[in-house]
Amino acid sequence: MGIGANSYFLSGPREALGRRDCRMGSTELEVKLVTMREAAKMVADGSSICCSSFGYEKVAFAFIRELIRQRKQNLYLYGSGMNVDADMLIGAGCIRKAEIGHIGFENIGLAPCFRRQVEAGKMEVEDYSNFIMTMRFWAGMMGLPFISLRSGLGTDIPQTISKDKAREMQCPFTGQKLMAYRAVNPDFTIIHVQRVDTEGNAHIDGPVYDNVEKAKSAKNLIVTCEEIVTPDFVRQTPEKTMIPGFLVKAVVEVPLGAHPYACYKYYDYDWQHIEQYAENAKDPKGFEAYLDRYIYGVDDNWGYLKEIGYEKILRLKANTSLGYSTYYKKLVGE
Amino acid sequence: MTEMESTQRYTSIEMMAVAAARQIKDREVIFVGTGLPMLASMLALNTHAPHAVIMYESGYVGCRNRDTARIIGDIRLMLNLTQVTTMVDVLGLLQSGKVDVGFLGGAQIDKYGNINATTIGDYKHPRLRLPGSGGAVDIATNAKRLLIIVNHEKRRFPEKVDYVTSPGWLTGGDSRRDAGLGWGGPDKVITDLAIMGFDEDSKRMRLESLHPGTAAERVMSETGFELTVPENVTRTQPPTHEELRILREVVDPTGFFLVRRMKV
Repeated sequence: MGIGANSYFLSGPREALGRRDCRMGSTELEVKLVTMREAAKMVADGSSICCSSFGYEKVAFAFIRELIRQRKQNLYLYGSGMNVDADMLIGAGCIRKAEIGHIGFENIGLAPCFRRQVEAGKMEVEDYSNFIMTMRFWAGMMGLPFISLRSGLGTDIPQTISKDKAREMQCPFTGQKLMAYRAVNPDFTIIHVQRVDTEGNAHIDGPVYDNVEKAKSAKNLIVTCEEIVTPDFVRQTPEKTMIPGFLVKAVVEVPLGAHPYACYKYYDYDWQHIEQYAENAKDPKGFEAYLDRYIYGVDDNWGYLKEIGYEKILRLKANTSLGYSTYYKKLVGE
Repeated sequence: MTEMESTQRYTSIEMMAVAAARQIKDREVIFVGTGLPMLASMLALNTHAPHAVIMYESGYVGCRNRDTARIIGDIRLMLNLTQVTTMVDVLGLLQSGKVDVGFLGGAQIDKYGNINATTIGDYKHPRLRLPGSGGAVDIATNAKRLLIIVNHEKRRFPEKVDYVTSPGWLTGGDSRRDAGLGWGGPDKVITDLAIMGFDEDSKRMRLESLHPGTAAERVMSETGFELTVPENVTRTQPPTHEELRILREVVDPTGFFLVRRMKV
């Protein structure tokens, strides 16, 4: 089934693209393309990871499914505004502890697995805010040991974080009260983008959120993408390049890799699927059934997409003038 | 507004959204959190505040979306914006004091306007684990004034919140300033029953305006602490035909916020 299609992508256009890219220097640059399975294998049990973007868009969801499929354990999760992505990893038992800005489904409701695991004392959580987490990644990206800002002053947040990560401080020049937070440098950050060339240079269309800070603070950066393009194409529109290739450890090509989230100008979020997940995950058995069907029961993202179905996939396709789907309303019966 | 006064039926969510929207002035810069604040700020933009600048922490500035955004990172917002930028950028603007109004929902709010969005019960062993701050701490810390929209239920209005996620007036008086928060603080709390403000000195929550058909006693009985009731409590004007029309036909034509049961 999916295997044939997969091997086509592994050997077909990729090699052709790879051969054309090395016109700049005398040294051939390494082509970092790997399969999803290989990429997820790099993440050893116990690693710290950051694999969320913001809201319901451009999250490396196929990578998250592969982490769950490989039954990773004791991962340490860093993130700012997280949703279904974090909930699924937590429910699947992959996460030991998380440092977060937020894990919830916004206007759908609470994150059921996160709720269940924390209330049962099965995972640890340390609460920050989105700005604090974003700036901790920023400090990590900048090579600084900490960041000082105002968020957290007067709240219970510093009280529930260990002292080696959050402290009140005074500005050395003005004496002003500030909070200091430890920088974050995840072992692995995984981001999903629209396009990467064969040298790893990553184009991002639309909102970037805090993906650059998350990516650049990582000890190892893995980029998953909708499509591989030629280095020539990237060189024609360098303003779209958010991540330079030399930072990228591995690239995975995975069309529809953010589903059920959106990928701006490529496809919309699958609200129906997200709501279905939220409903299933309220009950541990429903959650297990979800994993069995969409993750454990399939080999890879092609198998996953087969479960989603071609009609749904086509209906989610973004309208070129809007950036999201016009079939979407029909899909949810509005 | 009075001559246009509505004889139409409207829901408590609609009353809440309209009352909240009226708090926004034209040309203000507003940093909006998820939930009903999204609805109310879009209503303000489409009625009396066409030049308001709506910002979301996802990096969106100057939102004028055509289709209803369901979440604050919704790519529907990309269609009609003045700028899309990074989280560091928008949240940095917020921290540097360039945002007039912060606009939040919350699970619990106490008499000093402190908000809990983290845990009900003990932090380590919560009875109910909530999503956590998101950008709420940053908005409540840094916006010059804060609007809070929340359903009026006793369990949501305790004497003291179980966890201070977002700073209000802390323990009242000058405690907010003493904690290092030089500006900002809760201005109004808009519920399905009433509008509350805060006493200038004690910073305790006080009743300011009752929505149509609501008695002060009802508000008191749905509040878990002693609410200050001044003599000059006013009546909230009901939604006008025009406000309801724009809310239903322009802001949320599919009824995503208005019809579905909202979980704030």
